[in-house]
Amino acid sequence: MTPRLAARGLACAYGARTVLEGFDLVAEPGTITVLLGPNGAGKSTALRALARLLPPRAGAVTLDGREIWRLPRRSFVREVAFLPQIEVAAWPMTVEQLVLLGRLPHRGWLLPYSARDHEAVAVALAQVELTDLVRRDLDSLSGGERRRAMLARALAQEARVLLLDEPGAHLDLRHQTELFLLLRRLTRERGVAVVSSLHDLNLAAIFADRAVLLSGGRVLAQGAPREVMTPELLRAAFGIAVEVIPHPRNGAPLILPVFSEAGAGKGLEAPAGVPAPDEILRPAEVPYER
Amino acid sequence: MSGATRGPGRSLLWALAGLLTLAALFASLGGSARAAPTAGTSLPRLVSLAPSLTEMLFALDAGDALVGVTRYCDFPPAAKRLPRVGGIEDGSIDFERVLGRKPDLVIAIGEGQERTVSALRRLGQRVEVVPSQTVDDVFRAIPRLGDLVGRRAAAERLLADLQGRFERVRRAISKVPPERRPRVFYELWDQPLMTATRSTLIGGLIERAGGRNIFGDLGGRYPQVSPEAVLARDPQVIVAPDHHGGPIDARTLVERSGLAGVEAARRGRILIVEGNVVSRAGPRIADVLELLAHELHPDLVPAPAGGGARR
Amino acid sequence: MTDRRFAGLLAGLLALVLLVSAASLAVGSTEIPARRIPALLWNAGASLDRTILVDLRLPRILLAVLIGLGLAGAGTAYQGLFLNPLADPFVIGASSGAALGATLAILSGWERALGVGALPLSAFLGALAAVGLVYLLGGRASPLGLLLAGAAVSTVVGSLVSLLMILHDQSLGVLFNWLLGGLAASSWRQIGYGAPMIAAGVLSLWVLSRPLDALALGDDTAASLGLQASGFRLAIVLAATVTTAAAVAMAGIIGFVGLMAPHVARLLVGGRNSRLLPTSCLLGALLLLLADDAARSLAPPQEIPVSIVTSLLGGPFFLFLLRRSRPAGKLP
Repeated sequence: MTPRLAARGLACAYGARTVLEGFDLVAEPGTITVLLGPNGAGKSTALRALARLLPPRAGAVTLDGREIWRLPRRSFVREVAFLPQIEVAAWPMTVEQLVLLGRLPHRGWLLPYSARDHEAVAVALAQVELTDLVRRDLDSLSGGERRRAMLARALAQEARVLLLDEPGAHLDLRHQTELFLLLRRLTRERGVAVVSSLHDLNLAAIFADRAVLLSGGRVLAQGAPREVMTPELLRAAFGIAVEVIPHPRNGAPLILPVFSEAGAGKGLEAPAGVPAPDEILRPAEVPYER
Repeated sequence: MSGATRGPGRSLLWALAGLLTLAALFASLGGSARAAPTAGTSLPRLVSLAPSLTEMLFALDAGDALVGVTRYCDFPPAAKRLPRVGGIEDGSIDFERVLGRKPDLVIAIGEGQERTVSALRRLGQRVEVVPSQTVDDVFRAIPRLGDLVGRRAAAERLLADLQGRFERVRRAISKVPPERRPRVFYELWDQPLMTATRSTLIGGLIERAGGRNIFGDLGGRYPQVSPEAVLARDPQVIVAPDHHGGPIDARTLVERSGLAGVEAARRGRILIVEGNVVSRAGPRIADVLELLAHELHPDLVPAPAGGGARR
Repeated sequence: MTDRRFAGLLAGLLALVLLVSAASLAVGSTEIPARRIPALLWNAGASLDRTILVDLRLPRILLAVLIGLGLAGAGTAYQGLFLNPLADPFVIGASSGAALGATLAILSGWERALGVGALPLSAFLGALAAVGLVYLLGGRASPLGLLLAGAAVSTVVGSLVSLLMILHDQSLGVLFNWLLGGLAASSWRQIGYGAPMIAAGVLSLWVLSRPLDALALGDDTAASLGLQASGFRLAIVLAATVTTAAAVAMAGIIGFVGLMAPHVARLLVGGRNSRLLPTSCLLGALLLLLADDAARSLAPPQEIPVSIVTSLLGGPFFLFLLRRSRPAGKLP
């Protein structure tokens, strides 16, 4: 069963610089938790701490109640997979080789890969729709394809907890959406727990079961997306005025930046040609240029 | 299948086939005559690994014993006709050729040949190391070689002759006090400017010829010096070997080295000697000595008979 | 490339190495008809030809194979570790360390005191010491740190060697000869010492293939897959260095093999180290065998230093392959 990855009172620092404080989180099995916040807020740090890459300065990260740094590394990585923001394979490697490496936690570094490993790779590739590109060199792929290959590597690990840092970066709209649909399927059908940082607030609003809003290394708010993504909290985190409207189809919060607001809030002067706030059109009324 | 593995696969196979053909070609290259003419029955078959040793052996009338020499062995002229086994340093001596001559004895000078000597010995070949770097080495080598080849009487005669000539020179110049001995600069090479110290053959000969090597006291053997240092020590005589990368005469030498200001250049006392002779610790060192001594003390030492090694 | 095809390629390369080795027995300045070679080898009767074959040519051939294997293996490992196509076995200081060791052995008279074995031993220890220093300085953290420290140490130690050589120029010739690299003085004894080390080193590197692959993804990813990056990096550097140090101790500094063999192998079998390593090693053995054959056949009785031959042979060949297979002009 999916183990429960949790952080309590987590604080992290790089040298003398504290970058995260008082971070609490529980990655409930079967849910998608997203970490939101501006650059430098501590999202990547939190993920790395959760992934057992960065030892905490204070507080603890536990897996099913046991402190992860007391666990043998090998058993931890079988349960928890991590996809960093930037994963550079500077050396020529094929997609298949890369995804096969995801089997390391299970196979070890010595024994040859088994049929089971190849099976897991095939499944992972199918999940990200890269089956046709399996023999291609990584550097001959587009940025998005490469990202999906790396995601496949994390999936091939068959871990029950997925920690993803900006998984949607470089992906086009369709693939971003498909990615999160895939993650949702994994959580609903297999009980996988996902913790992901995300820049796209709207995507987060649609897919997240829980949201954690970070700013300056601290948690501003935590809870259901609707509760966390309010104009006040978002302005406090991002320093920009936003308007939140309900999604026309499913009522999820849609976040739109506001260029200038008379009276309250910080905003930017709208460039010429961009409609003033009272003129922001509803999506259905946007005229299409051909 | 990605293109990366198909393309070079075939061309690589062709290239490797080509290389294999080359390997077969190499196998058919080389090869020297194996059967060697027998040397005189009383003399052992010898391979000499240095020109100085070759010269000494010829001087002992044992030239017929040589069945293999280095490619630098060019004196006496008969040596040029002997089969070559390589150079005089480790890595340039071909073991197969040395062994192929079936020598009873290989004579080496040792320095720069350590690996060759040990390898040959390991292969069961008898090797005698006879150092020949300095004047004293020569005096020790001659009797030793005489014993090794059974030419003891000739060795004694040769030694006596050489030592006699050295003694005559020594006596002739013995009355000249050290401070009156001419300052000598030996220019081994011009760019960079290099000289020879007292621990070399030529350095030793210059001293015994009654000269003062202006750089005799330096460390090492062939150190690099600056033209200013030479100018400061103001040599009265310049001696240089003739292999400065090309034929050279006195004037060119002085110009190239920037030594026009020294006394030796002003007075025209520049002696060019045959490079091979002054670097070989062999029987001709007496010729060099007499030549140098005459140049340095013309009134005390008569000109050598055959012109010696002057160029 | 399927596993079966790869196995076939490997077997083919191995057969080629054996074939060229056998052919090389006929190469040398003494003519021994190829027909007679098998008889000479099996019958124990002593003869000049047999001495030449068994004591001169055979160890030399074996040594060429060993050193080719070792240098190619180390080069492959370093290229994979540093993600740098220009890395070769000497990139973190092994060659300058070995040169210093050899210089000290010659100048201090250890050689005279302890015999001919003192020089290779000093070279070996010198190589290990230099790389050890680089590792301490470069920090165990990053490959870049190692590279930079390697460059610095190589430069400093190399200058030290030059200085010592100039101050003691009577030994210049000996050292120079040794540095140029050559298989002329190959002996069974050398092989006895060096072969186990090279074999152990190359095998270790092969065993560490997958960690080497994973390290290419970055330390974070490697850790997330369960590998302690710094530990495996150390193990790889150690194995590669022991191999290189043994090779240098036996035959001086032979360049180009360790740089080129991995590239050619990569064109054949791709970047996965479990395949790349053995392929590269066999290609290295082949290259050095052929180069050594050429070195002693081109201008007898003089031997051209084998480094020169490897470059002359290998360079154009490699350029030719490169042009044929990568029209886009990207580095493999």
